[in-house]
Amino acid sequence: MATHPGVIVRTFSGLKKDPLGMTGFVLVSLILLFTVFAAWLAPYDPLEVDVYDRLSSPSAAHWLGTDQLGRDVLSRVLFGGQVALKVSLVAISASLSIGLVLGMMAGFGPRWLDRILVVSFDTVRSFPTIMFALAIIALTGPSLNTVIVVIILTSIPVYARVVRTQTQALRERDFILAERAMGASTLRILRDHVLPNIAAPLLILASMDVPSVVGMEAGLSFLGLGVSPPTPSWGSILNDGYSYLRNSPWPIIAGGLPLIAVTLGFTFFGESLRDIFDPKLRRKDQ
Amino acid sequence: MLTFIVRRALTSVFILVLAVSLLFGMIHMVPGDPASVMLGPKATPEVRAELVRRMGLDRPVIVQLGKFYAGLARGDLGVDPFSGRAVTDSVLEQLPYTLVLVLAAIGGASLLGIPLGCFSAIRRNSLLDRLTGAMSVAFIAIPSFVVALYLLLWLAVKWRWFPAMGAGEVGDYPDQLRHLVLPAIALGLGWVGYIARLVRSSMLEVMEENHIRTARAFGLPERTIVVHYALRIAILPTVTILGLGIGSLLSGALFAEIVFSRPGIGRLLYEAVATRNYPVVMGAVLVTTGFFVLCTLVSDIVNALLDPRLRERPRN
Amino acid sequence: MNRKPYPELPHRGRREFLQGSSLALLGLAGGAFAGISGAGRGAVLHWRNYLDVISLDAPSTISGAESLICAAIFQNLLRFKSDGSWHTEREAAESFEQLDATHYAFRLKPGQLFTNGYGEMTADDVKFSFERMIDPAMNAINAPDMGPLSHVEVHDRYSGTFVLRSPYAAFASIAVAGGSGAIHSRKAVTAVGGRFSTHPPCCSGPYQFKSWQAQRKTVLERNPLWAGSEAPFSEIHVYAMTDSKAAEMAFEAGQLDCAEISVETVGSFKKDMPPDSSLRLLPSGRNFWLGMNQENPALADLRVRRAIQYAIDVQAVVEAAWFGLAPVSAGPVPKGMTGHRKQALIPPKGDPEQARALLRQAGVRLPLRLRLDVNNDARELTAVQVMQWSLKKVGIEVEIRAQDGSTFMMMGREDVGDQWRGIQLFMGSFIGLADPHYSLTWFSSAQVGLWNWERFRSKEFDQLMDLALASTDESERDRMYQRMQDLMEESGCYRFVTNGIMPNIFRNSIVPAFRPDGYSLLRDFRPSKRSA
Repeated sequence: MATHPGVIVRTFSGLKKDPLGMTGFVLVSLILLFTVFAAWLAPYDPLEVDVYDRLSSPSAAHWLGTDQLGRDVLSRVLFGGQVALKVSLVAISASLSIGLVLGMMAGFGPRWLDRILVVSFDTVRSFPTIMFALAIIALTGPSLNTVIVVIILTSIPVYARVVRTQTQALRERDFILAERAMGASTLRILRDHVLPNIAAPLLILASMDVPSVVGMEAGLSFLGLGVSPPTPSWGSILNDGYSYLRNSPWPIIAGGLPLIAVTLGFTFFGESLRDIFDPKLRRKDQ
Repeated sequence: MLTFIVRRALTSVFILVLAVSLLFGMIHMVPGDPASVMLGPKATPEVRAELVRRMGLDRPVIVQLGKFYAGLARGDLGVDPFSGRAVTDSVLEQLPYTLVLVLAAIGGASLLGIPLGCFSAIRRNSLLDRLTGAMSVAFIAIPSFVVALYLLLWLAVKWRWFPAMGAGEVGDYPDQLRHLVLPAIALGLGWVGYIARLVRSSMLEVMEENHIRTARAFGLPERTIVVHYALRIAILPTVTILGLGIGSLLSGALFAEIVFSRPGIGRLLYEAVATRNYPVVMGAVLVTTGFFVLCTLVSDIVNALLDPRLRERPRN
Repeated sequence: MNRKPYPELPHRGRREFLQGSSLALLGLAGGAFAGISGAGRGAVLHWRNYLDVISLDAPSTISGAESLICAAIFQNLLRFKSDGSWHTEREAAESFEQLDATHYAFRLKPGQLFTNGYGEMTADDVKFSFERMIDPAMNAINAPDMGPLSHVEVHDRYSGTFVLRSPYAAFASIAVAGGSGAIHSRKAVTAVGGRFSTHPPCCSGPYQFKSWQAQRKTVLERNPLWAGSEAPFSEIHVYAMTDSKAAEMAFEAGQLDCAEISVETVGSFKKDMPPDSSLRLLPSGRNFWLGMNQENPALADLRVRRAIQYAIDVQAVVEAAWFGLAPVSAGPVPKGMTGHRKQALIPPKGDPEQARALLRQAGVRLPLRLRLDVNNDARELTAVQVMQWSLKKVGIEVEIRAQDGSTFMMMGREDVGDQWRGIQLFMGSFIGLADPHYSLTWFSSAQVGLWNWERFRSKEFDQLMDLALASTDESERDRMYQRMQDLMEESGCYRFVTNGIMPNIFRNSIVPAFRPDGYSLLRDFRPSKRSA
């Protein structure tokens, strides 16, 4: 694999040629900046209630207005990003790792293992996601951790299938066959040869998965199945806004914007990365 | 080929049974039960126990699952304990609304996406192509409920161009169409881009093929070439999408049904879970999962028809 | 003896949307404006009910929503007046009087007919209707409404006597005038097997049952056999809509003539009133409070509970969740009813300083972490978040757990598991009835493990409850019920919030009538006196 400085240089020279990708990169950076530094940037405590100033329109004091409890929407949106960030990091890294292991097992292991795993993946994927989430969350009560678990469980098959396909393809390559002829253990082959070859596409896939993970958390929080009040999440801000839609449109407007920004940013950026590092992937995801 | 189809079909059935049974188990592990919900606060322990016994809820889960499948074999999905109606009736009443919504979304997306994809392929790297590329990437991933909320806010509540809730009067088709517009847009917006991209890339592949070049060499007009050869092949990705994307379409439909208060199977499912309406939950799960599995099966078969390599068993 | 409450089925918030409300819209006939097409004989009333009908048969009606329909199609001996009070007047009865503490005599008006050819209403029908409620074989959910009723003696064709085992002050208002006191025809009900659900075999009110479509609408029509003055409407269409927003949209679209709406929309309706309509804010008989489980170790110290009471600013809660439109309450008994408590011991705004002092005295280590369970309903969630904020300011960190209606309802019940031990704070709500006994019976010791999630036990409370139920002296009952509410507050287990408010919107072409708890008296609706 390329060394670090090489990767960065390649990335930036690629981005310079692709305005869309550059836009994505800028968006992603801004989002990360605002999210990580929310505590410094937010003008108010996102939990501070002020019942006598509810559902107000944007003003000098509150740039995005206030919600039904008089809380500053802008501050809540900024902190809502932290929830999205946490969910993405945890969910994607977990499902990636587990999916990696399972996918390699399926791709490299005996056929019976492959069949079992593939059927398991397909079974999980055939659940309507919401149904799955509902049943689990109704069992355990709404909580962010449950949402993360649900997202992990439903994402594993996606990564696992990609890894499996890649692993299966690599399995038949000459240099792998040679290694095996020389008596190298499966584990070593996986670690030294398969892994480096699938790491790049996998990481790119992960970065493009951020919007859907964030979207899923937002969707579940919108249904009231995610974060507990008063924690702000973009989905819960939308949920509150929906209940009081006729009184003030601002919570909905404000809650939707970051979701759109995350989607655009990570998708543009991810696509650009893919074009830079592995144009072959273009075919693969179709 | 036939063995492939049979094999895939059997796997699908197996997956369906597994998924439904798992879900049955999960739902029953959830606290609360329809007897309590139905009686509400009027449920004294004795009255509740009586109703539980009458509904067969005190039997072990396995037994209840067995009874469910036995009933299924007879075509009987049980009775909704709240309204007394047959579950089949409730489900079949709601299903068309969701199907109509999904079809409208996909149909609308195709109507826009296929031409866009074609033009992008024909005029590669033009402004249109690049714009389409950018927008398609963007719209694919925006959560459909966000789109739905914005549409509701502006087009329905603020400007009142379209109705904000419901599906319209029964039998009044123009009214139902009006009620369909916003939810279908919300659901289908992302798909416009996806379809455009797929059409574009398969067309690009196809355009390089030998028989196309031969046709060109023979002097056939470009338009004939496009429509007769390339487009026919380009339609196929739309079918593939249905298979791959049906899961997300059904989830998206749930959100659209909630935001716009539309009847539909997504909402039925969601509400049934909230009221622990087990028979309706199982009926709706069966239908949605079955639908999903069916679409995946069809799309796999279609893909296998196109690409013989996919039919073979993974080698050991 | 278990008395059942008349709590509403829990608001489901978002899920309210999901209950066939738009199916109700679908059922609306034609696209034409379905309002009153003209005064007089042909008028149809389109009215929103908050729940669908599951059973119209008195022993098994599940919610108050069904009783509202029953009151229009069945007769009771007594019915509530439409003057905004809980006073009763005679309906089927020519006379009704209390003979002594345990005997009530009635005499029916002659010539009142049941529909579908089931003949004249007799005292035997009254006997049948009341005794089947308490018949163990019927397993009637609503049996507790009858109180200590023993049996009904019939003297002749039209008169009889109710015999009670012990005094029951709420007999007239709950058992006789309430939904459980509907008079059914013995012949008719026996002919259909002893019970019915959505299709009554016959009716006796100014309206009669015509049809019912699940989750769509119930249709009532004028009863030609009604002996009194002719019913004002030829038909009443009842739309079951659990979702207030759907009802509001339907009203704006001209498809409903009268509907209860949600508090949030009052403001926008006031600013932008639909044509030819009026808005009325009616009092409500609901009850919202913060309950504390005193047997939970974290809340065992009375000072901690008092601190929580002092910390909560009820005015702010009402401002946020009820838009300041509902009055702050000092107890479950609503205004206008005997026993209404005007003022709580702790002021509505609370007293954070006092709260902090109490916590210091109790030696509690701050921050104190507590769990608050609440129904997953937008309004209640707003209310508890205000409380959460107030509690935070005195050093109590509250974790809010929003529960599904179905799960929440069973939380405090001992017969479903151990979850009741974990209850600490919770937001309680239910609907009362026509008698203060019903607002307070849920807090007796007998209800521990059922509906008394605070596990509040007070001998004096229980004694007063029995005494007040047996007393016929209104001022004495008033004093007793007030004292009971004092006891509740003194125990530290309760911080009362509000009785809510019932906003109703209706067309100026009709004149609606309401009970003191804001629910519609369908029978008394009539077209307004205007030319068509």
